[in-house]
Amino acid sequence: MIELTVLLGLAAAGMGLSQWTQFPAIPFLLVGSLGLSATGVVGDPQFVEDVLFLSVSVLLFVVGTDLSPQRVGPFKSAALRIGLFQFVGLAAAGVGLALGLSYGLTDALYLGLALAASSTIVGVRLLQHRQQMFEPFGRTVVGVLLLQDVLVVLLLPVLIRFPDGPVAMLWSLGGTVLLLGGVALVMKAVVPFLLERNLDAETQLLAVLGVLFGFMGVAEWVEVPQFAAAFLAGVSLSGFPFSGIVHSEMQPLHDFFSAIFFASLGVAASLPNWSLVGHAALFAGAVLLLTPLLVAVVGEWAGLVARPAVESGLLLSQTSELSLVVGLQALVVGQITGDVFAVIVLATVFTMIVTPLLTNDTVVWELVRWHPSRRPDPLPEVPSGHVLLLGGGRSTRPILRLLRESDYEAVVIEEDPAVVNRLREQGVTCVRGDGADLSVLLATGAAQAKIIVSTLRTPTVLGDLLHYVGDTVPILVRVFEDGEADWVEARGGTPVRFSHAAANAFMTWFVQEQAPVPGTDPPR
Amino acid sequence: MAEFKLLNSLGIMLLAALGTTVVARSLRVPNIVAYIVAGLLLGPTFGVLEVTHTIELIAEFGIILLLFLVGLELSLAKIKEVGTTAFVTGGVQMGGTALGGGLLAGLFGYGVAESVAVAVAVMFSSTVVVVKLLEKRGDLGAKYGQIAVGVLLVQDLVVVLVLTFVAGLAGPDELVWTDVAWGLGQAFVGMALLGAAIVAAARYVLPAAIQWISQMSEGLFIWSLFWCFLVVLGAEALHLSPELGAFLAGIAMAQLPQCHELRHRVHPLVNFFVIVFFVSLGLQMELGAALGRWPFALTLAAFVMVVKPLLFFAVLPQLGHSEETAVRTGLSLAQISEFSLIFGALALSSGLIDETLLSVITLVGLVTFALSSFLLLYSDRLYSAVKPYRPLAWLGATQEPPEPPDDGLRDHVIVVGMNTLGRCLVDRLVAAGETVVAVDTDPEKLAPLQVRTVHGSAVHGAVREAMHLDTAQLLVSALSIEETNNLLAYHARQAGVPCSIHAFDRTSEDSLRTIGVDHLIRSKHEGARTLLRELQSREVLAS
Repeated sequence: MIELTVLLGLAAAGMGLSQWTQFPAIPFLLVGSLGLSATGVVGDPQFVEDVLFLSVSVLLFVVGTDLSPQRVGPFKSAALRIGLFQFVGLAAAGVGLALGLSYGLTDALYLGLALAASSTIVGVRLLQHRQQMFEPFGRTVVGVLLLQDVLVVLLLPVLIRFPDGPVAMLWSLGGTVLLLGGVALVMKAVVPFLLERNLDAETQLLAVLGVLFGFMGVAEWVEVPQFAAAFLAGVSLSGFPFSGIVHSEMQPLHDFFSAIFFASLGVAASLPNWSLVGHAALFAGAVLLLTPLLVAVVGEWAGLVARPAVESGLLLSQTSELSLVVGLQALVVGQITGDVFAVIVLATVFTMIVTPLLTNDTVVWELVRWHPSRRPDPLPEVPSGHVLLLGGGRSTRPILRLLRESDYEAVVIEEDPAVVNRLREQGVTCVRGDGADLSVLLATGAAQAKIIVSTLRTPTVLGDLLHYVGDTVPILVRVFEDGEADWVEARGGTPVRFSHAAANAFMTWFVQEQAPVPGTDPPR
Repeated sequence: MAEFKLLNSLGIMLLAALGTTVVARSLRVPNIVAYIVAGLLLGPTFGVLEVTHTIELIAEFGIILLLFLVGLELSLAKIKEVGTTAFVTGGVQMGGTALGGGLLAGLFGYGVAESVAVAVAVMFSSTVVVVKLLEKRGDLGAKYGQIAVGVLLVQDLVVVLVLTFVAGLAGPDELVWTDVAWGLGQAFVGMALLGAAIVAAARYVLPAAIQWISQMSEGLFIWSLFWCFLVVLGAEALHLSPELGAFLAGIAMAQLPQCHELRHRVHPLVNFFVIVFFVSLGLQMELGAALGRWPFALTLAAFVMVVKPLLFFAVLPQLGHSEETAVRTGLSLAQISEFSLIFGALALSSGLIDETLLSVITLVGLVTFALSSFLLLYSDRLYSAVKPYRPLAWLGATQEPPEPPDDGLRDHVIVVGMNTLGRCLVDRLVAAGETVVAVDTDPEKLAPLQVRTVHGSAVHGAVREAMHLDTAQLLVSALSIEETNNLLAYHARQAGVPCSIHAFDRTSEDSLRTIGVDHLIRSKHEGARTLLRELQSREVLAS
């Protein structure tokens, strides 16, 4: 009881610090966990270890249930390219750095794998916080994270068998394939059966846990790491709508066990000395430097413009909770020591602490300025008296159609190259760039426009524009929230309240639905 | 692998529980019985598994979290309502059951010490079984449910006294009175201290702290659990029962606006740990030696299942409660307690009883847990069957008039998500004369609304019940969360309720159309039309 209370206390403290500093909670929990282990407060390490392994299984299971390619939308190709390049590039860098620091080959391989993946928890949290989950680059980042989760979990069984030779590795791969067959079986047969049964919450939870532990039981039989099996068990339940139903039951268990997981990891790790801290800093530095570079370059090749490419790279520049699982699994089977695991833990702490600092607007814009492929896309001359549209999405189509019939030239600033090409084919003057970039705005005649219309998702990026030309040029800004509207108005802009418009349209439909059809019963 | 022993053990327990539950569902047997049977099969029958220290702890967490959940469900007002009834009824029931159980043991040839042990073992009822089933039926808030929980808490206080006496035993025939007095004093002082600390925390610390951390949903959950276990540790340090501590921790949180969301989150966690508890209970049951004393075991079980309810039937009407309340309270408490098994083990180690008698107590536990589960789950049907005969009229019990039909929500409009769009929808629907239910996970967003509100995430089944989805005329989601919107659309389809869902981009439109919604709130499309009109009004575009 004392051990659990201590772990919960550490988790509570970590979350309090996270709320206070607005940094992710995981690094605080990891540091606290290492400290806890050093103080010897934990009197029953066996209990803590038992709970640690249970926590990992639940964590990976829930991660598996989130594996929904639908969340990536039409950006699967971009996510695949970026994800693979980042993964392979970082893994290679990690292995090289580890070998350079005189780690053995097995240690180096695990360090490489641990560095290769980015944190789904941190990445998704940051996207949600900034309400960027459903922007193109947000969906791309989610796709990258999902891909990397899969790669780590599928590579882990093979790597575990590496010291035993190629036959053992093949056997492990075969076992993983068998589990993948189990995934298909559960998806096709078990899930529809469970959906039909309309079970109460408790029995449903029991069924879900049965799938989890069933997979883990089979994994033990075929000598595949049980942690990988937990992930695949989650994948088997990741289809809609069962994943949503599972989530509502499993999310509290996930929250509880993931807090316990991070708070108890220190039991497994060695207390690091300064040499290990130095190594961890080097590995963290490699991740922080290489990830934005790799992702920015590959991202632009995959269709992202400069800012989203840079921002994606920064968002992905940390190691993952799965890195900790990789390390833990390797430690359990005796393939790495507590020291190597401590390096992985510390690298995760360092990178997770730094990521939120990197992903603020100031850093992003500074890096965008230095982006080598940020080619100016200038117009032959700066237009004047035109209608300047920030964003060329569907909202602007009727505007562009009507502007063609008017006396005003339309100039569109759009960052999606596919949209840019389409608009240019339609004869619209379109500049590829970021509608929040003041230099782009001025180059497209923002100060001389008849009117500026912004359909950018985040109105607050228009601060510079509103400050610069808000007094002289009318600026219509799409807003969803009343707070955003107040912000725009305070800076001289004119908010166009999309939420209110949607509510009015809904009421029109609702009233029509309520109206009696002639010759029928009146509505309720 | 030795390192994964807990995982393997838990896996076997849960898979066995799943197997027995599948069979139990087809026979309409309560899940609890299935879990215990799973434990019996794994342990005493086939010897597959033993209970490790970690599994014992996990099982104990189940009881603690269950009592925390009970505390979250109750309010101080409800507790005050039933306090006197619980004390009086509980006292009479415990006294009467102990007396009868002791005499019965004497009739079967047991000595004084053994008879006293039997008396103590049968006087308690099972907190876990009763609370779990009440919670499953949604009757924790019903009058009989409140009384049952109150009686169980009174019994928890008596447990402290019993343990104090047992601790004061130097041998089977010797009681060290100074130790007993010291223990009792500690218990009373402990209760006073714990109560004072919790009241102070609930008044001065918890509201601000929980309000602050609730901006982070996992933070609220973890802080609440930490609070629960902190109070439990405090209770243990003061020589009180951990269950009492957990209950008081829950009561302290029940006064906060975040308690609704917390209840929904604690639920699945409780389900998980309690399943482990019941399976481990079955694992630890040693029944072999009891078979030789089966007449006494069955007689004692029958005594518990008949006399305990009768005592409630007799006392509750005298305190002004209805016949139905008396009957259902009695039926729900017709079993011995898991503490009876623990007490039996203590009595064995103190030399008061032998292993055979411990097995008898265990067998009585198994029988009464199983049968009383049926009684509790089907108590409403049982009462309906006997109601025309006015079974307790001779004790002065009155029958309540039939409850008026539930005039709960019907034909209302549910709006999920109190962002700007959601608030606009609520305002316009209310202005149009509609009954609206607003749902959000943030109590601050719900507070200023003048409509009925439900706090929690609409993906939880309990929240959908609270918003009466089945009887709504329309479900509207103003959220910009794709997964939640898809799930809401799915549940609306399942319930046969029309739905209007916010489609905030093209990809979300496609997935909602695939699921099948009645109306898409296309905020970008409608906003674009507003933009057009604005441009037309500024003569940039022709009208």
